[in-house]
Amino acid sequence: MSASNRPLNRILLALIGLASIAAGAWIVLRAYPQLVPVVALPEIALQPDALTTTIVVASAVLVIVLALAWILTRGGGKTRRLLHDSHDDGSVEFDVAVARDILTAALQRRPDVLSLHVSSHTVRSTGALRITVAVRQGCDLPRLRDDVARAIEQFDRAVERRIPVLLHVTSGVRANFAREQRVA
Amino acid sequence: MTDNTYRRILRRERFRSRSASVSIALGLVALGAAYVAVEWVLSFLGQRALLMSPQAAVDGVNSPSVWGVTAAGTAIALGLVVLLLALIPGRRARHTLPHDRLAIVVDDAVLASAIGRAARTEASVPADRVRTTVSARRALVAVTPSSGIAVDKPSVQAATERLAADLAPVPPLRLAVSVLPSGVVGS
Repeated sequence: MSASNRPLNRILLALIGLASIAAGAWIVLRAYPQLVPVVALPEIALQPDALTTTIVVASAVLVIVLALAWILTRGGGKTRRLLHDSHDDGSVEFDVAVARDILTAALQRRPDVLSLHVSSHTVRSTGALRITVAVRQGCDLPRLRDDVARAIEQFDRAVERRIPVLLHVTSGVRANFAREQRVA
Repeated sequence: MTDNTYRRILRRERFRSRSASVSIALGLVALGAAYVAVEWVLSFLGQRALLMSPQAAVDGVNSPSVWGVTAAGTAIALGLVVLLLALIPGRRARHTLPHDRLAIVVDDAVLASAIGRAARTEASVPADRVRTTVSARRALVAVTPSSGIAVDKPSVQAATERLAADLAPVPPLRLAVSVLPSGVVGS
């Protein structure tokens, strides 16, 4: 549920890939100039002067800054504060712990739930919940789904609105070692 | 409620993000840019080059040696890998379940063990006798019966299909139950 722009990621990857292929192909073709005539590089690099050096260093710094900016802005969108209401006479905030407590109370008696993780995110400028449940092997999925839905109804009543909720059921690493619950 | 938001969330859960690949590729691009700048400055100051001066690099591009062609081949191969990363969908081993309040995404391993549980309850065999594998559009359930006790294949098929109908995973699963011809002695 991160905020990063995925299509742009892929477009950038495609551009880098195509540029790399083009550069490689060009050098390979230059090895056989009599077969395929490809333009040669101009001899600008013969004697680096002050102007070209400035241009090269400036473009390198620009590329590095842009690359770092892109890398450091991946992910994001995670927040502690789930909801925020402003009124004339003050404001109300809901922490993610509200949802965590309600869900923990609803699921703690379930024998096939190994662990529960609740986090809040900002999706399209509204708060959203992400619930990750690690379950034992042979989990009763319909019952888990209905239990979580009931807990979320309770949460909806508590905060008086319906925000997007994602339930992710995972087997986790621990599930492979945990014993299956044979009496549920 | 927020149908578009849910569609977006679930799509992003079902497919892998390319953020890590982009970060590595951009890191390499930044390193390359830094290297070119350093060589250029060294050449401008009349110092000795680290690997090759800009002049040598231009010569190497214009009439490449064996090393130049090898490097170019490596660049083509890396470029192909990066291009494929951009084009391959990168589906994760997960299914989504429809629900009117929640966006639900389930790992295929969890789905497999849930289907296996439905199968073994119907077939009355211990858990380790049912082997279930779930791929994007198919679930295979293989039941090893206990010796001397027949397993009713249609009823196992019906039990797993009842669970699949209740969960209604997306993309939909085609269930195939098989009962192994030879049983195993034991509980």
